[in-house]
Amino acid sequence: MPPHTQEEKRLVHKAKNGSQIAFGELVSLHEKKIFALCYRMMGNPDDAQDAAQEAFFSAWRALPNFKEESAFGTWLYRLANNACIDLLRKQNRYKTTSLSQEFEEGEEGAELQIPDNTTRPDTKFEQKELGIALQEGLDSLPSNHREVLLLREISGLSYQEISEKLDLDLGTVKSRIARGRTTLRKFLLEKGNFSP
Amino acid sequence: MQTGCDSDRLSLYYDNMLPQDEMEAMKLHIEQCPHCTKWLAECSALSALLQEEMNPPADFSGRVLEGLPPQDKKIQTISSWRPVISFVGLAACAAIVFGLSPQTIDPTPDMIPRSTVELPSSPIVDDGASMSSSTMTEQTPPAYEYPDTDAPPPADMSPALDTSSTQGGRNPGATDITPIYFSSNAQPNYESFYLLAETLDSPPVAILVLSQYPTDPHYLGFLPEEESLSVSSAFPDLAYATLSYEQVFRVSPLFGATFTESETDFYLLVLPLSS
Repeated sequence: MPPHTQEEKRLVHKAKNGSQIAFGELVSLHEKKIFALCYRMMGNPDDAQDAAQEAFFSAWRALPNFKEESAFGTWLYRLANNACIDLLRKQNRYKTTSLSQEFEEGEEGAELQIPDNTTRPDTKFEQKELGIALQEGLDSLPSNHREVLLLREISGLSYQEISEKLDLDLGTVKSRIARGRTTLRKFLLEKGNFSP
Repeated sequence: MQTGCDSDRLSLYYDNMLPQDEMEAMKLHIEQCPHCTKWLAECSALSALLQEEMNPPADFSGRVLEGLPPQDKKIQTISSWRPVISFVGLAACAAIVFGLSPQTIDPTPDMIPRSTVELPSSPIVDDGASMSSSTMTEQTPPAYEYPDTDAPPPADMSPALDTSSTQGGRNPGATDITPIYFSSNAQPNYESFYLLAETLDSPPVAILVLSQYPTDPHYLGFLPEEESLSVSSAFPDLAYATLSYEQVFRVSPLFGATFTESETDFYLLVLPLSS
């Protein structure tokens, strides 16, 4: 079901008034997208599940005061992003595990990161080869670059919204999105299984 | 005007972020450039790949529903703001009820707003992911109007306050405090404060940060350390107080906040003060 529908609004209103059944339907509607965002941010299914769960918990808690100025799904994306950053920070994985190697053209503060091999997807979690390569590519990005790219690509935030949310100037947002795309594209092409 | 095989500009073109004339020039270039055409096609494929949905583990939604925490209370509209306590009263109240130490409540005389200005007719409620429409890099505190006379320093900041009776206690006066801002429990960061600064133009208020994180009294939210912001440096004109881990559990019920053992519990309260 696409967002912004009357049905979703009806569910949101019911959930705001405490209906767990309505909230359960909202979870079912959005869990695949939210889990995907969390997986792309966290890099492994266990952490993705924790972050996605926390995002839905946050949504439930805050629903009575949800002003509906944005679509429920958009709001949920933001909560999920917050939950991921929080979890990465607790694990000291936000802007950490980095090499001294400069990232791309040496943007200030940006370093190329080594994928954390302790959190690779386990074998029971099936993914297509390209999906795995994509995740490796994402893991190779500095976490603050990955965050900006995913806010754009998955959460669908505008450049201005990303700039405001992360307190970055617009130029930095533009640069991180462009370099994230360039790096990921190069990574996938080198892996040899990326052909549009 | 720049055109050509520039990945930064191609990315902006892809998102329709170039000025209109540059969009048109870039379009003309791309039509004649196989490299850029391929780059855009790959960019589009990358977007589709990133946006693919993923199945969460089985019964994910069931586990979410089983673990749902209590919902936040809905904040009712306050028809008109009226100062209910003085800063001295709040300080005393906080110190007595919550056992605040002088170190954790730190309003110097210069930090206390001294004029009474009307507040918005409705409270500001953070929905947990609010985003201000302003530029967040501006750090100008709200402008206040100060009277000619200096306000006396808050006598109640004295360490001589008796806090021995606060354990499990509840000051009846404290229930008169109606928060004019009450964040949700969704990790507000200092965006919330900028939102406050814009909207609460110049009220006399006190800010309470309720958190179990020992660093949160000074750093709002979970931003990178270098992007974090000290409450006092961001809003030197606001009176503020922060609560320790133990104090949080005593103060939170008074404002309808339900703290769990979760380390992410984090509330932001703005309380009205009289001049």
